[in-house]
Amino acid sequence: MGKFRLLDLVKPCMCVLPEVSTPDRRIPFREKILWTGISLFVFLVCCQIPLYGISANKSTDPFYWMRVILASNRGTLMELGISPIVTSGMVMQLLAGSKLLEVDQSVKEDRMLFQGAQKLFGMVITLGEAMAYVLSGMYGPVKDLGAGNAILIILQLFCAGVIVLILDELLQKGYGLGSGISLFIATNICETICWKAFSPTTMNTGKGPEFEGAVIALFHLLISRSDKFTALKEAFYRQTAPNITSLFATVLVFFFVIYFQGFRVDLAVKNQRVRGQMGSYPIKLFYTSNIPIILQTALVSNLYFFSQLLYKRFKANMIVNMIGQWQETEITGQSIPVGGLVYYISPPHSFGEVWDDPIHALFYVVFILVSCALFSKAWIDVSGSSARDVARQLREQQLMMPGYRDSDLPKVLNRYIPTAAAFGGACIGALTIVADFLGAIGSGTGILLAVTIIYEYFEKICKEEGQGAAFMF
Amino acid sequence: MALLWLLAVPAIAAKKNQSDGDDSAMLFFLLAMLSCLLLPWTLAVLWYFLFPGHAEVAKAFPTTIEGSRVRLCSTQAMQERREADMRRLKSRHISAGFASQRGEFKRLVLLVLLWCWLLYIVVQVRQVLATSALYQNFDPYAILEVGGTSSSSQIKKAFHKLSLKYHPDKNPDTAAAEKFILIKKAYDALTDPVAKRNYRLYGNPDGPTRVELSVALPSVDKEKQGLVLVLFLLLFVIGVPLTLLYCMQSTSIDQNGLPRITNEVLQNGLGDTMDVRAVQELLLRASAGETKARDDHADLRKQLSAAGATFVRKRPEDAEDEARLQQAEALFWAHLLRRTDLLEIDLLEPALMHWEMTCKALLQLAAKKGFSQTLHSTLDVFRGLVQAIEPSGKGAGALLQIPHFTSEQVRMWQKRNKKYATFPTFLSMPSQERSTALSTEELGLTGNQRADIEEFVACAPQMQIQASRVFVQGEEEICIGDVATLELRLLRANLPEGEAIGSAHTPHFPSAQVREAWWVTFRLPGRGKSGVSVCSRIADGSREFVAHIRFRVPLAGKCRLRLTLSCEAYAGRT
Repeated sequence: MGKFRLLDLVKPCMCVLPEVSTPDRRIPFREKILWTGISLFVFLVCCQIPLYGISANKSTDPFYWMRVILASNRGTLMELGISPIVTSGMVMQLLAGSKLLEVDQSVKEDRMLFQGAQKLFGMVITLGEAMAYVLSGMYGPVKDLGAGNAILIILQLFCAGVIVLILDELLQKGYGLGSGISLFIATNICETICWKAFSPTTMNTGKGPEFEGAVIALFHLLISRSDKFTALKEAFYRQTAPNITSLFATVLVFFFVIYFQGFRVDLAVKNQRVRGQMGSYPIKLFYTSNIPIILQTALVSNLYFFSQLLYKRFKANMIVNMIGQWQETEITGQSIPVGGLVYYISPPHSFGEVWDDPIHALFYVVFILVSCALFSKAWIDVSGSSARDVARQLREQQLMMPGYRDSDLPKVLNRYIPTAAAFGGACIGALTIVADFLGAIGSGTGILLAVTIIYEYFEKICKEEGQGAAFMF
Repeated sequence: MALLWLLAVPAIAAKKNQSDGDDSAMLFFLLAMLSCLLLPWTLAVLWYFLFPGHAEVAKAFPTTIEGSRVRLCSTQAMQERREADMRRLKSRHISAGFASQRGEFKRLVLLVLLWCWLLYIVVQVRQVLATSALYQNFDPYAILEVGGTSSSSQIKKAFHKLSLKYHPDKNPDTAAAEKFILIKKAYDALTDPVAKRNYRLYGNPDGPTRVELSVALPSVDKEKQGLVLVLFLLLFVIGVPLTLLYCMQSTSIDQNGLPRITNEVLQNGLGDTMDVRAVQELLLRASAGETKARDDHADLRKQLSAAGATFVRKRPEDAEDEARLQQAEALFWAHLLRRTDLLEIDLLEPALMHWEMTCKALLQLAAKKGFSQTLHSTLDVFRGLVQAIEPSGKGAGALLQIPHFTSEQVRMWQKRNKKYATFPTFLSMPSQERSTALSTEELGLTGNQRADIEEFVACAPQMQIQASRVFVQGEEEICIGDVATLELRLLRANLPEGEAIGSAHTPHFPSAQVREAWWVTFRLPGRGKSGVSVCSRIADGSREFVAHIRFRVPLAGKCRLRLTLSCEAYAGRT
């Protein structure tokens, strides 16, 4: 080898890493569905099993906004969700992209080592995160838990994390459809939506029991109330729990996203080595998918977090006040922004609020659209999907565009990709605003994620069945 | 939690009868879920009963393809076939998803039972509504005994009147004291600004009360909790894995709809240069294991053999397999020789459908591997199957495809009309001449039968290659190694403008849905004697269309390609 490489350090660990062996034959479609179902079942069961040894927690959930995206369930084995896989995947991609880690993806051994390293890293992150959760007192102070319980919790979280890693590998190696990450995210979101629509939980606020599930509540209100019109009105517009309007909004957003998914520009490409072999390279409107909205959410929540922290300590400081002023609401005791920059980037909650302070609403919309567009444009450079990178990939596959010289490829792609990225990012932002304003269940980001994933699955299943049909004519 | 709950619904439903009374929330939940399930289901069932198989028939027999009217061969036999097909599609669809009539019945019973349950719940809900205090809302207008639109002075008056009656000073009864508190609350809710706001927002003039959360589950006794847990455990630990195992086992059918064993036999038995007989044998061997043998059919086989049947040369060693193969052979040859009258068993239809599928798989395989000779032999067998003629071209041959032509008539025809003794020449014969030739008494055809023949001639394909060219997409000239495209402009000369062909004329085949597809094959020269064949299927039913076939250019220099265009459904059309 001569030169020392970071990747070779993984070699001794390869034999102890759990691994799913690659299938030795083509897995039939039905079997794939079956494996996908099994992994989903294991995941869902893990989502329901509470952690052993934790003390009851009443504190507010600091990671609420991430739960949907990371498919995690509080207080269960899936506390960490898929965050270890995602983090390790992203970090390894960054390392490989920045050439800190030298990988030759065309060599089989290197690929294996890279995958092994990613898995190892994922396990280390799982362990680290589990320890951080326990030590930071998420499950009550460590003193109360005792050392034995603390270690038990860490072990539980670690095992669950390894199971998720293996499930993901199982699906990705061709036994199932798609990747574990997207499957689990989509399931989590769909579960939330179903739960909000059909939840049997009741709450009694003094008006008599009321169902949490929107559809159940509609039936219940219509039957039990004497005045049917107000009952209907309440079922459609109640603010305390999911209502029918938000259910409709969810469906509407679903269809909207599916419709926009199909928007794309097909660039004709041809093979250099095999002349006459034509193909097309599609550039989708949602070029960066839902990344911009995820990044934007991350930014805003961090801003909220720090602003809230600062405002508690230094209420009199002018700069702190300019960033954000907070107030606790009467009923729930939640802090909401009432002034400063944070207020202007927080969504207005009702038409009344928009009417009272149109500047706020306008600023919010502009902020979301612009930030999403910018994040989207920035992401293509980071993730290696910019015009130059795509041109390089095409060249590696010996593809070129008819009518253009090879060196012109980035220029041609540059005409489409940044525009698609920026405009697509803005569209995603707009969709999220609309979804959140209509009160769509599962948040705009969540629905976007779910729809993109389900659409991918739909395309995959169509392709698989198409292959079967082609064989049958 | 959400998932567990959804899964738990049936378990709860089973135990619902034990619990009573106080689970009113549970009743509402069940009511909502049941109605959400039953309404669409019932509508769907009603729809199927009213319009059975509507979509299936439209898919199997479309009326237009890309705007042109579909021409279906309307000879008497074919019309009957089509009607039978439609009837079968319709009857099959009533029992959507279930193969047998019993499954259909079970489904209906389940539906009715669920409806009964729903009705029972509705009755219970009515009782609960009538008795339970939970659902009598706090309505200040009703308590003050005034209308919903009363003015404040009226409310005041009513309040005074009622307080005179129920005030603890006037009325010593304890119930009256409680009533007075309620009246005061109602009065406040309508007059006092703070109480009014609270009432509007939270439904209670005292402001928000503590929110009580509960789940609409029936309360289970302490002793029975263990039982419930065990039931859950059984469901998850045993039920789910068993279902998965069951699903695993039933995957012995491959993606092309054939059993895996059959596919394996086909894969192994496929050769480069198979003649018609070899293909027949492969076909019979591949699908002989499908049905159990009922009889050795010795007499029948003897008769068929005399009529020209050839049996498989390589016999299986196992006696059971041998019997099955013999039965398959008997069926096969009885169909091809049109001697189905000799058959005493009714296994022919499923066997034919199965052979058709196997043949199609074989065609696909041969085309993929570029075995053009095997492909042509398979095509011969396929045509033989759908038209019930001998694949090897022996006997009366392709003319038997003409409706009402038996071998007797074919012989007569060939003797009298030497010039038009083959199938293509029969089709291209001037119509005047043909009708006079057909109406000779020796053939013994009635007027209706002659009309059928004319109809058949109008539908039978007369494919013409209008133009063909070879080019490389996006390039000026053709070089070695390029992916060239062969463009064929084809015309069905038998169809008038604005029509497209539907399924082929197959009166002896159980299905009226055999498509009139074509196969293009040509051989590309290679270095020395080597070369590859290109086989491609064209399944366009339009009158005029363009087909594109792509292939790799093997050699430099000029080269002529010999195209063979053969029809999948009719013999003698190449």
